[in-house]
Amino acid sequence: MRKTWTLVWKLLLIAAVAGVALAVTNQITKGPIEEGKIAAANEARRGVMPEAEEFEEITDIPEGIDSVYAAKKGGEVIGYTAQVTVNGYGGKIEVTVGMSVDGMITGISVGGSEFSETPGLGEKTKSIEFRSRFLGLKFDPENPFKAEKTPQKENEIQAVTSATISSQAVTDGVDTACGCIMEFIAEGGE
Amino acid sequence: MGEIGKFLLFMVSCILTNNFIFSRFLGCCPFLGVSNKVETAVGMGVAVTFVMALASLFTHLVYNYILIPLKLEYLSTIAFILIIAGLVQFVEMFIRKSSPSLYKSLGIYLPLITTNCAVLGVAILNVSNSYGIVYSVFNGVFSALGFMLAIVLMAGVRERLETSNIPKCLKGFPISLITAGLMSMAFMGFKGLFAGLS
Amino acid sequence: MNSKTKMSSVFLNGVLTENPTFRLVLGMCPTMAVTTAAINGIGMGLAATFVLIGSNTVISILRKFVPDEVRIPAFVLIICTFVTMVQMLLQAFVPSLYESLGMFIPLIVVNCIILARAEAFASKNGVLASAVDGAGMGIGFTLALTLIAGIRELIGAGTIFGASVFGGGYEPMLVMILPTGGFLTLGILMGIINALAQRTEKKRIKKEA
Repeated sequence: MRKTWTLVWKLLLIAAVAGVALAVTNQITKGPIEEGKIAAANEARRGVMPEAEEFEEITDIPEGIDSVYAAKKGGEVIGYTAQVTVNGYGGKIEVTVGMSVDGMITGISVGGSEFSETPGLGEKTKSIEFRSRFLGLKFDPENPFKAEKTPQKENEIQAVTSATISSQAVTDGVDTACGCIMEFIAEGGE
Repeated sequence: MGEIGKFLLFMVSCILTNNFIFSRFLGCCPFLGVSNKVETAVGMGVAVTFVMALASLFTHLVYNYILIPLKLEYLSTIAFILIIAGLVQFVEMFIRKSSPSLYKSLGIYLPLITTNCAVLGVAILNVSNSYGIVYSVFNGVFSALGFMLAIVLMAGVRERLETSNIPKCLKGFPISLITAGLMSMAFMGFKGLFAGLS
Repeated sequence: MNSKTKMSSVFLNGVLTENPTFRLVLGMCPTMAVTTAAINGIGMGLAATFVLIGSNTVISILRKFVPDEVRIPAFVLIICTFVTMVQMLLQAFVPSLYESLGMFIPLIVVNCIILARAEAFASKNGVLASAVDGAGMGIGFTLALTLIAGIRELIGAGTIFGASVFGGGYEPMLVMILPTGGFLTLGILMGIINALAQRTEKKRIKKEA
């Protein structure tokens, strides 16, 4: 019996010391981690909306949209960012679109924690090369964007070579996000 | 796409497209270590499925109802590994008492499961994807089935390899790894399924 | 043998003779999962080295204090503490590396190398020797990971540490940075090392005969 107690108190002592060590590390790292997360989230939104100074989350959003932020500059709303999740070739893809109040796309970002498109093929939808193909375009709900191998019309986007499915998935995401933002612009345009 | 479609897609992605061995590299040690015979591979697979389902359930409960309210998320790794170790111990005792024959066939694999990174991996994945309780448990079960599929297929190939003429320097691990590489290439073909189904 | 040469032999043992990846075949999951780029290989290796040195040292200090019956849970607890510390430190100060290593940082806990060294070396040897063993094994692991990752990155993306090597004309062989490439590279490297080891063994036997 005494032996069991020795085992128990020794293990508990180790656990207690471990707990204290971790609590101390946590105290030290908590601040930088939180700051890093906020900075990264803001950075991602700023990436699609470079002119904005601050972002304000809008909570009342339609189904199928992950999040919408109003981008502000000098207290005035200059545009919106919307994030949607679509199914790609290998898994889910998060697409974030920024659009200014005059309906022009200011940037898109592609990624997410479950992003698993084939490296070198579908993964290139993350590249600046592909994303910049949307820059400055205006969204027309009647003729949504389409990913094509050889784009001819204005609403057709050049797909990443050998990755039409991933490209189309991202493009669909852009369409959904744009459609949502257009509604906000129409509502908030008073 | 309805709930059922979503669920089917989730199942296919766990078992085939995001196969634990061939695309996530989780559970490689037992995959290479215990895949000599189909029979032992099946035993290991069943034991892992059992533990992974239970581990998904308990880690979900502990993380969401104990660690989060106490703001102790940073202790999750320790908590998970203790839960898994305890669970394995408990399952071992339970099987030994209730079914000696099952214990005979599964018993030797149980201690190995504690250090199988697939089990801890599924717990971490559940948390980082913030799955609900139902999806957590099914993620455990389906991922384990994917693991079992991989290890049983591998054992089938290795049984044949035993009798074939392999260069001496490739015997054992090297040829198994190369085989696994070729198999993972075949599994890559399933990736398109995701796009096809959705 | 004086203590200095002994320490260096403990160190080299981990780096070469008993290289955890190629000779002991331990810790396969991170070896293949994170080696898509050389920088990830180094990052993973160094994180594991830190844990190895820390856990080996502490376990060696406590080797008389920890009762034999509960040594495995105690070791796991100690290893877990170091891993969680590494995880938090990386997330706070090197977030980009934390992102690319992802869930394989907490999974260092179940990396068989660490528990194996605790059990086989640190619980039987002095503090300094244990720390040196941890460093040796860690460096051996890091070198192996960097080698595998370097090969995969070079062939699969045409770069080394992100810098282009072959120029624009090279069409990267994508399969090398896919999971398939991980299995193949490790398998072929291990085969080459076995072949070399077998050849030196043969020479030695000939010499002796």
